[in-house]
Amino acid sequence: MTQAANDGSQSTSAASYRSSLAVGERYLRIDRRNGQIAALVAVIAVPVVVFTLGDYWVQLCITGAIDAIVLQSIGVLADRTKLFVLCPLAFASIGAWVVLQLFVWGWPGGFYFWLLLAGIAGIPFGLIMGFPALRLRGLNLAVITLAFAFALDSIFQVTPFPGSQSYTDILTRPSPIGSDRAYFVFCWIIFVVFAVILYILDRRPFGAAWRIVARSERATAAMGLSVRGAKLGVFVISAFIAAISGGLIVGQVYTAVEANFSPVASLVLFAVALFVGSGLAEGAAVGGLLSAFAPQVLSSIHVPQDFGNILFPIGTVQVLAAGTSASAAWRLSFRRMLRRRRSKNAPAQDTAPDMTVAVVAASLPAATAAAASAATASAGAVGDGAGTPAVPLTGLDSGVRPAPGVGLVAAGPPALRATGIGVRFTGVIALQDMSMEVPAGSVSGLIGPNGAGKTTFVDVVSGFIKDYDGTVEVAGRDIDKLLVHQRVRAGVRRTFQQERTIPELTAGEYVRVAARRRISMQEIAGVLEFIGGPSPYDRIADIDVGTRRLLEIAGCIAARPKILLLDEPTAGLAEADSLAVAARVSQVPDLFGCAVLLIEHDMDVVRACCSHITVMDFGRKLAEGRPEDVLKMDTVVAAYLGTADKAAVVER
Amino acid sequence: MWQSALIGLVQSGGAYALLAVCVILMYRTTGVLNFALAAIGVAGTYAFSSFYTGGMNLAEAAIFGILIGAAASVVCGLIYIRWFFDATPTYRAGVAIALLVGTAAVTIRIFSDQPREIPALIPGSGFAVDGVVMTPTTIFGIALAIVFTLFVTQMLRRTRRGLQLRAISQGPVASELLGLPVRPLTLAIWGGSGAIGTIAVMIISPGLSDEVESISLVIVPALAATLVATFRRYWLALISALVLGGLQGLLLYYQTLIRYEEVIPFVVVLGVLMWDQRKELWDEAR
Repeated sequence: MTQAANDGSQSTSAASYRSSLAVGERYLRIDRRNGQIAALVAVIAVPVVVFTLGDYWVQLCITGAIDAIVLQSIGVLADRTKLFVLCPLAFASIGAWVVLQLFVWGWPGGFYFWLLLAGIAGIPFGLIMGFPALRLRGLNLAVITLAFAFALDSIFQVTPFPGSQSYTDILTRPSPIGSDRAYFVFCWIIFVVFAVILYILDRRPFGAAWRIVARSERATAAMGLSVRGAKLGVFVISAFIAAISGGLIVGQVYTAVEANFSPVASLVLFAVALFVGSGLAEGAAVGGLLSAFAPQVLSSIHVPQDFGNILFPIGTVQVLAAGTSASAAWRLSFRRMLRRRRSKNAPAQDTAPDMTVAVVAASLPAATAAAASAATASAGAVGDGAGTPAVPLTGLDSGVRPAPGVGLVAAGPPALRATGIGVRFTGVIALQDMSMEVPAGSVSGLIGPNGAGKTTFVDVVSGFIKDYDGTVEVAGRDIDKLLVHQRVRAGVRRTFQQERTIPELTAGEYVRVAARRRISMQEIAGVLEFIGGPSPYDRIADIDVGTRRLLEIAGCIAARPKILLLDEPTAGLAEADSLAVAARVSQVPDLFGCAVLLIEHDMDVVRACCSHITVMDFGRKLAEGRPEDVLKMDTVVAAYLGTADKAAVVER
Repeated sequence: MWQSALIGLVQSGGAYALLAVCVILMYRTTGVLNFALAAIGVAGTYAFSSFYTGGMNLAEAAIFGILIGAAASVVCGLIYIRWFFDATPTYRAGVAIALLVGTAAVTIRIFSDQPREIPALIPGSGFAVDGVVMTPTTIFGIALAIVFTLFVTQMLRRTRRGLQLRAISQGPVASELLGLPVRPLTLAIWGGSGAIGTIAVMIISPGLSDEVESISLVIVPALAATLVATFRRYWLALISALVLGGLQGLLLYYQTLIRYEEVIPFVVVLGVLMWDQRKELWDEAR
């Protein structure tokens, strides 16, 4: 292919990438602005409306606000992490108990302080429920939490709440929130504060970890996030919020009885939470409104009140059948409606920043940047006028192969050194005395027939297999004692044979979480464009499997690891695409400063980007050396073909 | 002390065992963890007691009650077949929770939540063994539980229908493509479970408080037994259910603790599961 044709295809693909980036960026900004305005309007409008209502209705509004808070605590678990925790009111009863007991004991600090202590008191119970969640999932967790709700309810049936038997000493609210209207505002403020905190947490890696852990624990750990931390954290938050709601109930009715917190009421609220989608703030608010006002509305149209308990389940079933919650659907149509308005008013702007690999290279530490410019100079790249190194970004249709062996020279200890690795499953020896090295700054290959133990070896290095003989060192550091997510933080990144990306996230969010460091949108887009991946604003659910695997690689690269383990990245790709990926992979050490260990079956890919390969068979190392030498060896040919007949090997 | 345990075992164990084995059967054949099983049973039981107080004789009222329970269950099954044919177990469980709430509400609506007399399924005062009273109903309950477990295990393992049912639970769509009568079989399971659930509630309800919602929660100890049996082992579920009943009865011995009998299922389940799942497995643990 001529250089001119190269440039042509490069500029069209870069241009179209940039324009899709612009669209995505604009929509994100519009949606965010609209959402913030709507939220502000709602936050102010609701108390204003409530102030105009009669006393009886204000009481209902207080109930609605408190229910909304309970729904928030359910939503944190059910919506984000798909954990069915059926005992929110049990946590609330703990909170109520604490507030009443502190009142009876005459503790100083007043209602506000007792409320805070109530929330804190819920935390150990959240942990008690969280620990089983570490090992149980889904239905088991649902059963055990229902049993907990059942158990706690029975205790409160026979042991009355403190002070509930006395008629003389009744709790009173502090005077600023003495009136019902003021108390409603107080509850509403707490709801808003929780909503804001959850919104902020959602944008953090911790919040992304919740959604990832729901999908795959392997993926969570492989991104350096602690599965244990994510799960326990989510239970702690949920229990805290629910316990505060219990304290607020006490503030509303000045006492508490078991009937406030019955297990069936928990189940009803759970059904409502699923229906409205209480992971979103507006869902929780509407859910609170529904559960508080439904009996009222029903009786006003002369329908018996318990019809509410028939209608909610119908709504829940319908929502589960549709696969999306009510608030998720509202949010989508709200955004669409407002987007149309806004794009009519605002002129279209191409706000996408300049997104060549030059930007990425500019952000590298100095040493690797120097190596990058040396490598690109030797590869005969075309630089842009500013003098920053630019690597010819070959499009997926170009088929240009860079010279292998680029970037071999890098000082320092090997990026990966495995010595004497042995793994035994019951009766089967998966790995035996496996030793190999990946020099820093190189791309090495690991090949062998199916069942040779390649993925097992990667599992050992990345920590998914804990019982093994031998040692693993990364950049000179012994990592044997580290857990998976600790190894990730020590600089080991891997991809999986079956991609484990998260459909609920966008590509950009995924890369941001995977990077585990402050990373600008520019850099995210740069990495994605480099690997030939999707726009950062594309939802992963909409991306095809082949591109998702590239996205997985992009996520790993963005983290700047010391060693990147790629498990058959080109499986299932067409030949031209495989070679394009090979081209990218060979550039990774120079651009991103990490070494690569590539497991592959495609010999063209191996020859294209690996400077050194190791061959495995039956769990042992068979041979190692340069690709052109090793692939001619009799033993290697025999391992693959079952025969040492060289004539049978097709040379390209 | 063992007498108290035996009392507990006899009074509740049989009903728990019937429910537990039924829950496992449903889970392994339809993929639904049926939280609503006891609620469906309550509907049938309330129908039974209404028919009886309305003048029917005991046997007829019981049969009609069981039929009502089975019919209610089939309606729930139709909901699943229509909208959740190949949904994930989590979604199906969410629907079951909604159905629990809905069924209890419908029962209250139709039969009202007034206190009512639920007659013993099999009249007679029974006999006493060492101070432990065994009524015909409770003995029937335990016997039926054992027979039912035997029937289910043998049916699933040795008959063609059992094989078909096991195939369906693994993949309903794939089974349909193989020409298996998935929908009729699924509805048959729902109907049968509804009947068994109704019998179980009929056996246990004379001793319980009258609220629809609290009787519906009898599913909780049964679920605890199924958890211990890892949703798989029918005989283990039977034994765990009986043991749970016995442990609850044991608290009778310690007068002050009897009020906390509902805590037993939770503690037992927590202990057994934490012990059982000592080693973490990635994405593979239960």
